[in-house]
Amino acid sequence: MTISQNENEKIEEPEKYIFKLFISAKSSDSVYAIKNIKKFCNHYLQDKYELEVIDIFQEPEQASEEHIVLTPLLIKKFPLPEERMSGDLSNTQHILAKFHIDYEN
Amino acid sequence: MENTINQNDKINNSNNCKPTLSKTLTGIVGLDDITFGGIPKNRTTLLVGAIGSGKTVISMACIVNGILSYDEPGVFMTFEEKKEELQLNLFTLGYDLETLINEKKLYIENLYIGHEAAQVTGKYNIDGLFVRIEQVIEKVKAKRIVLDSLDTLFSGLDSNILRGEIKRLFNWLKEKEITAIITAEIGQTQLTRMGLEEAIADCVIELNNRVSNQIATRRIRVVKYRGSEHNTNEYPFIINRKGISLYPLIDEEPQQKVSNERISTGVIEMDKMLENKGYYIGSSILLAGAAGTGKTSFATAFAVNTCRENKRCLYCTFEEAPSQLIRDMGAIDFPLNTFLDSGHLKFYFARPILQNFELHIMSIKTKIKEFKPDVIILDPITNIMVESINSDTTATLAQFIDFVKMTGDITVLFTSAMTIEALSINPSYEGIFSMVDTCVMLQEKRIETVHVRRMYIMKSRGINNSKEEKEFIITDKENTISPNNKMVISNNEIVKKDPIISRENKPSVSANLSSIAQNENGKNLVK
Repeated sequence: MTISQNENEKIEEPEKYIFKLFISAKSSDSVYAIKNIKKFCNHYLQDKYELEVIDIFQEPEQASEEHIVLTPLLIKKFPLPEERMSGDLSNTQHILAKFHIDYEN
Repeated sequence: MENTINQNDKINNSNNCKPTLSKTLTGIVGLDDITFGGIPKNRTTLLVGAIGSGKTVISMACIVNGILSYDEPGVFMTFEEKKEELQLNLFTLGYDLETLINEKKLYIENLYIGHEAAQVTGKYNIDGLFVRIEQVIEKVKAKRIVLDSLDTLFSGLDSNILRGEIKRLFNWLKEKEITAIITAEIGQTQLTRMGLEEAIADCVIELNNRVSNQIATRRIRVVKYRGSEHNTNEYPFIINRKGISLYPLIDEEPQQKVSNERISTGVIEMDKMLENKGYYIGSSILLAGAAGTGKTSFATAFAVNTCRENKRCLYCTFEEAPSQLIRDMGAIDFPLNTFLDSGHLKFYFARPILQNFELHIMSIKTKIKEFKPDVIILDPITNIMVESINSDTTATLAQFIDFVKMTGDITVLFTSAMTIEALSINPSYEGIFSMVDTCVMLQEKRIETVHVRRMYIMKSRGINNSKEEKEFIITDKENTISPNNKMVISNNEIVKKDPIISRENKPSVSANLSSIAQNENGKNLVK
């Protein structure tokens, strides 16, 4: 696996993945995104994750801090580097590759 | 009974609620004219154009004008330039955005995008943008917003999803009751790269920056304006330190003033041909003839006489530099220098290839505003029409004549190196002949072994002009009259026996008229 940023990280698997999912409650894409990410996390990360779901209409300040244009948008806050992915997260393989998650664990 | 009343009410209501298209003035001189009152209020206008066509500046001008002139705060959302760069760029154009930002009337938002755009899985929407826009509108209570530009905002995204989303954005902006301008880059085959925005936008304005004959000219065109008439022509515009100026043709100008007063042509025989009074003040005159037919001499006689009547003359020369003109006209005793010193005469001299015709005309307009002349001479107009005389340049000339006529009392004289024969070669010439009020044709004809100059008045609106073809001479001899009733162009300061005074009893107008004294045998007589 040539996924980690440095040698140390490669050895130590992150203890926890921290995600922020920005959604707009009005849209169906967001509903799918929540479902998909929860399914994904439960399947690949079990309890090793934290997921915060933020409705941009409820918390516009947070949305603007993060320069959100597209929703749904998933941000991996930890481990660094921060990574973003937009869309309804229906493609599991994309997420695994993008966020460098070693799914065999 | 109740029913009928209700019905009546309904009818009244429906009458009151007639859908009227309200517009918002952009405050950009000219743009509001070609759109007949500005861009659609509370709706979306699409501004398309290539890189460097002036999209950012025009849209920002609309925001700034909204703040300064119409008390409408505005938001400028840029996805392209950094806030600081944008401010600096516009500062050089005379827009002090800092102050407006501090007064909380302007908000510039720089939205970074792109990272997440490239990493997409599955369906998505642009609700995030909506939330953002809502926030920034709230910050300054904006009535106007610019999104600059659509292409940067959505670069790398799936165009199928975007079409729907852009449509949603336009509708959403409409609901927000905000006047929006969205810029987009012009597409190869379609108007915009996205291909659909123009179908959604209520108003589409196109900008371009074309180079023709090595002269770059920015042009603007209203492609579409839903529910409103608009001018579909292309109009040139300039962006300089004074901001943006458009030079539109104002379709009909009801306030066009008409004068009944007359002004001497500076040549007594010519006055005679024009009911003995000369041109109408505020009219346009064309002196047309091939090279060497005496156009400049006629024009100078008019200029000198105007100055002598204590009026002001703006002499725009595109062929000879003023110093040369002074020397050459000095050879036939026209004292241009004297009037230059006295402030009655001013020159505008510019190389024809310096800029395009419309821009020359704009510079002249500026001069007119500063100097407030009574007479303007453009000598020769054909020289600054370097792009060749076509419908474009003719239209510009028509616009200029319109502009001058609106002032009501400026008489404008063009000279033009055109001949009647040329009409058949280039029909566009016809436009020039027809747009002016008085048209004087100058010719050189060979009679046996001598070339003689002749002139006739082809037309003169509202004047019962002589149809005679007159021979004329140009001489340095003052007080010259030629035999056989020929016309003489020469400098004549003192009127000895002025037929105009005696006939018209208008000493105030004609007291200082130059005239040909009744003297015998001048020199340089032809024939």
